[in-house]
Parts: sequence; structure tokens; C-alpha cells
Amino acid sequence: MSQSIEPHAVEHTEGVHLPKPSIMPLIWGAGFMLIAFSFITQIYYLLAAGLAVILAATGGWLWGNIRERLQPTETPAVAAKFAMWCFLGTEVIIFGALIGRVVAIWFHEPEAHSLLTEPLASLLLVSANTFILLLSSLAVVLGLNSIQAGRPTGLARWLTITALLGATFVGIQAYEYSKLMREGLNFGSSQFASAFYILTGNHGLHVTAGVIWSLVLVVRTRRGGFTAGHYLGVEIFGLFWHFVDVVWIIIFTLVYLI
Amino acid sequence: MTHSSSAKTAQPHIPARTYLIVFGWLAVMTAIEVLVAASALPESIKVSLLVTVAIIKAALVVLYYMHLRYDSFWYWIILLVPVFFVLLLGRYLILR
Repeated sequence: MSQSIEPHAVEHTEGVHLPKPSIMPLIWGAGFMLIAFSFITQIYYLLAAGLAVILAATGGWLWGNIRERLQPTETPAVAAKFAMWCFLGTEVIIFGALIGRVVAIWFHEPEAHSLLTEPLASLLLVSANTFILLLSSLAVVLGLNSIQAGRPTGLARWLTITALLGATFVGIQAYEYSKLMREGLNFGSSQFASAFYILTGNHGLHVTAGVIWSLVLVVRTRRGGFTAGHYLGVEIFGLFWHFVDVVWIIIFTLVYLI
Repeated sequence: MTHSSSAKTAQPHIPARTYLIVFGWLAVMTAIEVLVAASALPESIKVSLLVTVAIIKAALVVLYYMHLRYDSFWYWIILLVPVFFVLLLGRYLILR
């Protein structure tokens, strides 16, 4: 896999090499269903059966990859951009459910919700963080613009700025968490608190992953991985980063402002 | 794969000025949101205003920064189908 996403492979096919389709993830899912079913029905030998199915499917999945490496075959190059949009489609569902849960709960716990935005300084802190994330999105598109114009140094600079802004966002979020916990909003202290930390923590993890990804791209850029005609990797990263930004725009409004 | 051929991958070169203008609007709208949230407007007007501005902001990022305005129709489908289901979920939560 790592060999196949080398610049040259992407340059010619505008896609990434992926292993052949496998039935194993489906079997994995069936194993999980068995486990869930065992908890619901309290028939615990189904739990053992579910675990066995998952273990077997994991082995089958791994074996498929090992076989692929031992005897490389011609596998389809899936358009990486298309794949990223599909991934983002699943993310819409995940974040939709998490945001929906917070909004549905805070009507019942308005006093816990008010901790987020009162006093005004708290609201301003979150607003500043929103501004930082918007700024980081601007940095990504300006980086893309640089490499399209054949300026890899510009790309590396903008991606570094993106990473710094993303890290600042996570830092401010950590500060906000510590402040909220001092005020009594602990994970598990109420339904709202759990839903809030799961949502914003999940988002924060996405930002952290994006920061690491952008730093990897900085290294790739410095090694000459991107040129004016080849920058698919930057585009794919951009889609992810902007999506995380869009999710924050919605969280900021529905969870903090309303 | 038909996807490879149907989904465009070549990216148009959008001028930096467009990105900066979009950012300007995003920043202004964020400031408006904060002012509205801190204002003493009636709750219903406040909520309508905030949701409208958030949708416009999200649309600006998706259309210009994620280039959906210039990209394949397929990406619209991929994005809008889950959004439809999320709205269904939202409707259920509100009615509950």
C-alpha cells in the first residue's frame, strides 16, 4: 500500500492502489452483530461465537493482505478523491448523530449547557477557536494555490501554518475542558456532559489527526513529493481538513451559540 | 472502476483572491453570529438567524474550499444523501 501511493503512481492514475475487495469486513460486522445480540438477549455463548467470528475474519483479512504482498496482482486504482468523499459521507452520519444527541439533551439540562458560554469570556474563547480553525482552512487552500503555481516552498509554509493553527485549536480546547471540569462539568457527571465531551473530543481527535497528516505532507513536500502537475495528496488532505472545519461551524452554532 | 472516469480529479486553479474573499465573509459571519448570540433578540429570531448564517458558512467552505462548485456531480450525491438522513434524524429528535 505504502509503495503504491508514491507520487509517480498517483501522477499517472490520479488514484491510489488499494487491495482487492474483501468479504472479511462484512463477516467482521456480522461478528459484531452477534456480540450486540448476545448483550441484548443475555445469551452469552453468542458472545464467544461473535468473538470467534471476528477473530477468524481478522485473520482472513490479514491473510488477504499478506497474499497481496507476496504475489502482487493488478488491482483497480480507485479514485482517491472519490474515496475521500465517500469517507466524508460516513463522517456526516457520525457527526450528525453526535451533534443531534447533544442538542436533544441540552434542552433538558440548560444549566449544564450554560456553562459553555457563560460568562462572556467563555463564548469569546470558543469564538476565537472557531476563527483559528477558519484561518487554518484558508492556509490549506493558499497552500494548494501555491503548489498549483509550482511553489513547493509556499505549500510547505502554508501546511506548517495549518499544523500550528490546528495544534493551537486543540490546545485551546484542552484549556476549555480543564476550565469546564473545574466548574463541575465532568465526563459522566451528566448525560449532557458525556454527549458534549464525546462530540467535541471526537472532533478534536479529527483535528489532531489532521495536524499529524499536514506535518507528514510538509515532509513529503520538502522531499519533492508534490509539483505543479501533481498535488492530489494535498487536495485529499484539504477535503478532510475543510470537512472538519465545516463540522466545527455546525458545532459552534448548534452546541455553543443557540 | 467507473468512479475513476466519472469523478473528475483535475482541480481548477482558483485565484488566491477568491479564497481570501471567502475567508473575509466567513470571519464577518462568525462575528455576526457571536453578536446575535450575545444579543437580547427573541429566541426564535436568534435561532433562525444563527442557523441560517451557519448554513451559509458551511456552504461557502464546501463550495469554494472543498471545490464542490467546480467538481463532479457525484460528490454532491455522496454529500447530500447522508445529509438527508441526518436531517431525518434531526426531525425525529425535535419531534421527540
